[in-house]
Amino acid sequence: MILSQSHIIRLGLRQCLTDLNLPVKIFLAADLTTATDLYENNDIQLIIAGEEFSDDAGFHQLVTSGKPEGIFLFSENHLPGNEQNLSLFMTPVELAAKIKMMLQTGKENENMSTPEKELSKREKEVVRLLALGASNKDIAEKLNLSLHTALTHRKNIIRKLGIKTAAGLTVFAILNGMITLEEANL
Amino acid sequence: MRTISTETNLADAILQNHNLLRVIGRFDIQPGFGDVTVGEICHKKDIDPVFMVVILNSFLDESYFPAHDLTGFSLKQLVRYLQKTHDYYLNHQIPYIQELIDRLCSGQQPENPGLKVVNRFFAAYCRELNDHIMREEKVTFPYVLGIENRFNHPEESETGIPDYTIQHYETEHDNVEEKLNDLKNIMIKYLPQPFDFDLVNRITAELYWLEKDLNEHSRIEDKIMIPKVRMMETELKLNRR
Repeated sequence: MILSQSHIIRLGLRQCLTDLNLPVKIFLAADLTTATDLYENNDIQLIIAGEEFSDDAGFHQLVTSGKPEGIFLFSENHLPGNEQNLSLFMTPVELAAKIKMMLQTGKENENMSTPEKELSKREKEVVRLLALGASNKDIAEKLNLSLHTALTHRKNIIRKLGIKTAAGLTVFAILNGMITLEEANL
Repeated sequence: MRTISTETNLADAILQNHNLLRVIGRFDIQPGFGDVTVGEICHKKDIDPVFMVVILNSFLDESYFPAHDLTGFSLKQLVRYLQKTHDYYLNHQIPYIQELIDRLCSGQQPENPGLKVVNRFFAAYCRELNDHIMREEKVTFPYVLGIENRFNHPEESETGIPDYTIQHYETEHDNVEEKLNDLKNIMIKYLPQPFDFDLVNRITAELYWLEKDLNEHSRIEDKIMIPKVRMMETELKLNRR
């Protein structure tokens, strides 16, 4: 995800990343509200944020809220010695190296931690409600959770099951006896 | 893997990757075409050889475009190809998978209700894919062709740009892919026994093929069609000032 107030930087960076032909999808955000929304609804591996957000409390809350994926700050100048920075004047080769390294690190971390595949009790409840057609907001209300927590459960469910859509989760719930075919809206 | 050029023997290219057979079918080229090069068959069938070469190569190698210059294509030609792929999904590939899934469900005695659920999910997926394709056919493609026409003949049309822009289209693109991915996951990880393993194998193979083909289809839309329409939109708006 590219987060920058500058239209030119957003589109320019998107073009640079597109040219690298990485097997990833690129999201653009001009402000924190959009960024938060994208972050909560997609599996964001890497955030490239404009320097203007570096002291923003909302930004820090966003990047510390989920699992810490790669974060780059984008600035006009080379900040020496800081691995976490991208600059306006870097070459395509430098950019490619940094981005690929960061995406790779993310993957390794994922591989190293033992993957939990079993759903927790709470996650099962969330799957059941999703399968019955509940929205994220409904789930938060019914289970007395914050919307943010409900979204985190959802993210974890996607990670564990590999199933992303509500219809897919409905099938999973039926096959596992969590709901009946009659209850489902499939 | 060798890159295909107009000099490449078509049969050699297909022997290298038989899935290309499905691709050339969209250009109305069928097996039994003989000992011809790509350039020769294009000439015979009145196909733009540059377009054909790009479609074949990009199918074999994802990095083939946007590295190559694609500005020479007409959108009309591109849309015609995309429509052919739509026709292939709706009238061949989807009915074929449906038939296999129906056989999977009906072949099990006693009945396995879990398989029926998978069938319902596939039906829901098909409805969504169908809606998506119809929207492209009825809204997006006419818009794209209209823009190209206006771009090439600005003197003919003084009317303004419609409210729809290609931006709208970009936002509508994703859920169909996610559902297909879920279906594959469910088939592979969570399919309840008992079932005919051979049929499941074939269905999975067809789902993988469909996924690759759909991805290729959206890549052509995202990397060639949309940028080109955007460029035209921008210029047309500038001209109106």
